Amino acid sequence: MLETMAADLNDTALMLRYRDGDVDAFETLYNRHRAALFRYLVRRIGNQTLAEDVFQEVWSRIIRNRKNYRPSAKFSTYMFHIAHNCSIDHYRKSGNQQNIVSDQEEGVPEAQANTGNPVAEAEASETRRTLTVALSNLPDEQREAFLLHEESGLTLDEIGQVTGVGRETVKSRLRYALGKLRRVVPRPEAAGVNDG
Amino acid sequence: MAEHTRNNGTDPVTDEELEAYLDGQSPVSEAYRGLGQTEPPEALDRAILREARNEAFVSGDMSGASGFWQRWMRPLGTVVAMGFCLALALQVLYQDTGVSVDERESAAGFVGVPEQEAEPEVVVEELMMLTPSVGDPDLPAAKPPLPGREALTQDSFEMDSSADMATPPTLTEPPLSIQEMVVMNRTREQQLHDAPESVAGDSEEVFVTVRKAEERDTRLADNAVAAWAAGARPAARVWLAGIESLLEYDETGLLEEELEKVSRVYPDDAVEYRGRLRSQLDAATRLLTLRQPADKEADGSRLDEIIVIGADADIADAKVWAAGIDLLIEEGEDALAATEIAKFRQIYPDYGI
Repeated sequence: MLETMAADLNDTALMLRYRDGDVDAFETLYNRHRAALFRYLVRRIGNQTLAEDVFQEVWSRIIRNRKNYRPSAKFSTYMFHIAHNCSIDHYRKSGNQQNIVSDQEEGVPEAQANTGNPVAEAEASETRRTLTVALSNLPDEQREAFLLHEESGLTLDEIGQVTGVGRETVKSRLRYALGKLRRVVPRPEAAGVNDG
Repeated sequence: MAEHTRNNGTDPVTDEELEAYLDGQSPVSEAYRGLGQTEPPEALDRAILREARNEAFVSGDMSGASGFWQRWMRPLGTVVAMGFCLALALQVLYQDTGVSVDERESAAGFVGVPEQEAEPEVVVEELMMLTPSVGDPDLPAAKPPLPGREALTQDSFEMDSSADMATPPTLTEPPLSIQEMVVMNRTREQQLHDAPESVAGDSEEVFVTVRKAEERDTRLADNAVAAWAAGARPAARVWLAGIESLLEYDETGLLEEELEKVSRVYPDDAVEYRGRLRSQLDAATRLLTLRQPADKEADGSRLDEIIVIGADADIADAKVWAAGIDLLIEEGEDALAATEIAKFRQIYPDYGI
């Protein structure tokens, strides 16, 4: 927890330094958060090209508003809240909410297990595919809550700040999301079901 | 036969499972991490970093490793501004003395000392120009502005070379540079004013305010809190009807929050309704059931688990309120619906109904 607090403090300090003109501080901050934010957007929007546009818009807003930045919350909370708003703006412009497609269809390299076991790799690949589909079939609010929990490292309260709902609502959405996603994920005890 | 696992993926998620998931100990999280580490393309990274540098550069406060101009702009600007002010002062002081540049020598290398006889007159004229007197019999009558004065009012700041006055070292560039800097800063301020989003951590702990041009539907009106306090709130039955409509949409978490608000604003109505809702939920075999505040305390759970965000904590959720209004319209209660809509608009001016 102390390490988390120190990292949060550094994020705020970096953003404040960028507010005062230190571009190197911004670069550090950017490198620290770019991957998680990008994954959140890709898997929420469902299209990497569109996610790239939204990703750039998020950072543009952060850059344009650097002078107005005040550390009233964690930087990651601030950043993901902007991402949340930009995603909503994207949905309005596109007219609907797009379900995510497989990363492979978008040209995103599939994670390679490389276990040396073709059967295990095939199962892992199938799990990834079904999980991706299941994630895409979640209601947007549940998918967003799930992605924020997985990618942002935010607490339930902070996720609530990002999405504009209360802590219990966030918990409820995560519960429903978990209930649906675990159906496609192999259970650790599945290997022993047929024993005896 | 092996023991059948209690949770086979179709059973409701228990509290223990949820807590384990929140602690990061869930096969679902592990499977999600196996989806891969997607990253943005390098071209996108470069574009964003370039934008960050440009923004700091344009605003003029770029620090750290930077180019020549950023390092020297302020010192140069200071020198230029000082030279310009000095030139103006010299122009004003000596334009009417008739002393040419060639005749002026001083230790400072600027302007020489005029003849003794002329000095008081110059001083008097200068005093008149700077502090116009009213009805002072000892001073000469007001004279037309000296040529130099007129030049000061011109944007080009051109010096009147026709007068016999000192010609200080040429300094025509500085005013334009200063003006350009001012214009650039003002342009940047205007852009910030129109910028999409501003972060404001005010004393009420409201996290973000939404920009005017593009606003979320649920954006509260600027005076929403005051309007709410003055009575712009849904009727209890409208609010509760909207809450009941949430049962169909997996919004039990939001339902609890709204009931908590109703219990604070309309305590009697909430108590009565809570009982009816509980039976509905039990009949539907929902996992989450409403609990009375006393039950929560007995369980040890905190009443403040529902986050209170700012002074607008009691304001009805827009979706809930709108759902209640929709039900009024469906039931033909147009008059009450119109009243509710008017109040609704005071709180949520842009929410589409």
